[in-house]
Amino acid sequence: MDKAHRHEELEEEAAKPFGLMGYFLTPGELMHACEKLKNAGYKDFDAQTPFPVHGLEKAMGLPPSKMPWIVLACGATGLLSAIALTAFVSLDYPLVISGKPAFSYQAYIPVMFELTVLFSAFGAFFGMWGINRLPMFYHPSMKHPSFPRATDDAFFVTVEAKDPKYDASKTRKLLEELGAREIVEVTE
Amino acid sequence: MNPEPSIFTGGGRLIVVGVLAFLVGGIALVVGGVAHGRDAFYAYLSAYAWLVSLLVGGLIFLMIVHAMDAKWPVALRRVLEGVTGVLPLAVIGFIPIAVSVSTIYPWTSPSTIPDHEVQRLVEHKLPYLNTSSFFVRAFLYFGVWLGISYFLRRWSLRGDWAPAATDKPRFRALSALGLPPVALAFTFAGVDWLMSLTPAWYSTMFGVYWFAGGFLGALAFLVLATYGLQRAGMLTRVGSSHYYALGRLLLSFTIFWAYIAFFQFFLIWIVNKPHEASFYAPRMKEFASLSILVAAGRFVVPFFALLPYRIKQQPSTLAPIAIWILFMHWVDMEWLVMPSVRTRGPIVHWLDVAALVCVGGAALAFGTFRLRGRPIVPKNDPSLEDAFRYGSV
Repeated sequence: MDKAHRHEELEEEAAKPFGLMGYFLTPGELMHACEKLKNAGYKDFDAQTPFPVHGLEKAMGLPPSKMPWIVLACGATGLLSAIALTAFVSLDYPLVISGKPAFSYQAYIPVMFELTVLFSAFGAFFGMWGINRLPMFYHPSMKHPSFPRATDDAFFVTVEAKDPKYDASKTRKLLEELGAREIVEVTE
Repeated sequence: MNPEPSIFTGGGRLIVVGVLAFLVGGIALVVGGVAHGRDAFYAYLSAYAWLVSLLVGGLIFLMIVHAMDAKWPVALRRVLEGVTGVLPLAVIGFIPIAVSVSTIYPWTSPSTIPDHEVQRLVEHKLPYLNTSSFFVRAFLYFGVWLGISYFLRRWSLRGDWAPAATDKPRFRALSALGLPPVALAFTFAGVDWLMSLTPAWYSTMFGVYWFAGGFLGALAFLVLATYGLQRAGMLTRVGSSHYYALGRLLLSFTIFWAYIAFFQFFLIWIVNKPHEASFYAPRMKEFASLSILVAAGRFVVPFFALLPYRIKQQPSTLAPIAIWILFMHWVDMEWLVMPSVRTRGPIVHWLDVAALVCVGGAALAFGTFRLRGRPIVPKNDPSLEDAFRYGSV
């Protein structure tokens, strides 16, 4: 009973719409559609293209990425930890090397630079994973029957159901007007 | 107002201001020179090194643009050609240095060097460091720079009157073949004019150091000139992407300068050989405040100022940084010259500022004058449309 109930619940959840998907055959059409969607007040929509389309993020009205701040914070952490490390090791156990005073910071600038770069690279790498919620083994947009063409010749647009302006029939009509093909409502 | 905005006709006020600055600075230099003697020549050398590195930096950027067949800088190419057009003035500007060689450079009279060891080292270098070969080499440097800038400018201007003439292969060949001699001439000029102020000292990085600063200054000037022209109603199709591209170059060459500057210092500091350290010794003692200003002003401030994306995109925020970089390049030249020659200070003399005003004013007036009556863009260049349409994120 309990098991069946959970199964039902799962099915119910699975039936929840993720959003409407359609595709275009040229980047120009996609760009135009994204601009129209943005102007119509949609916020939660996404585009999947076979190759990077320049200017698409402007057409979609995406906010600037948060990555620079993550990388800056990580780089600053790296710099500070390098200063702390070099100061600690050279003051806690002072060694006279070629007659230089203890904690000759000049010699440690390469260390500070390297740790800044290392931490920044970690920030960029793992920050990218975090922001993109990777690893992600499955995404609802894969349910569209023609989705494999997103790696070949189709330029997909997905309007997500969580968008406050989302309305299954109105959004579908808008996409149709924009010329999207094979408009399908995919589930979560 | 302006019937043909593509032709550069303005700049009258710039010429007047430039000539006035030249006269005021020049008179101050002469008057100060009578009173303070050699200080005026040192001041002039530092201002002159500032100007020449900007001009050759601009020439190298122009040649890279041609050699790489780069698209977006074509929109700003005439401005660059305006910068390299000042090079003939640099030849005239060399006269005060030529006159005062024996005043400025200690290697002209090795017998007066007090330190016996240094004296022997300088005598050993005399086959290279002597007055006549100094002049022959200066002649060669100017020959290379003037020759290449002359042809690049001439072909570019000719293209304005003869449409459909495609000089591209010619531009590319001259630029690609000319870059090594121009760079070598610049390195040797740095060795001759600046490094030999401390004749026992040498650094294989010195030419690159001077170039890094000059190239950065030339880019900063390009930002300012472009912004100025836009405010005067020209170059209207140059947009945020072009500034962003220049801003990125400014940031990367700020980092490049810091890398060169630090590692030149680092290797000498860690080895600590007396003759190598002789360059840094006064700069870490009496002139330590100037060294800190150079490190902070040339790297720390512009690095953080240029990091944000929006600052690089907007000319109104990029221009103040460009002014700062140009100013700091002059401070850097002061740092190169003064601790070697004016060992007892002061760190900055009022004559130094007078020399900067004099040299800068003359260059501004001359460059503007030579640009007048020309189209402000290479209007028949096939890449011009691409250059204007250049767009980046």
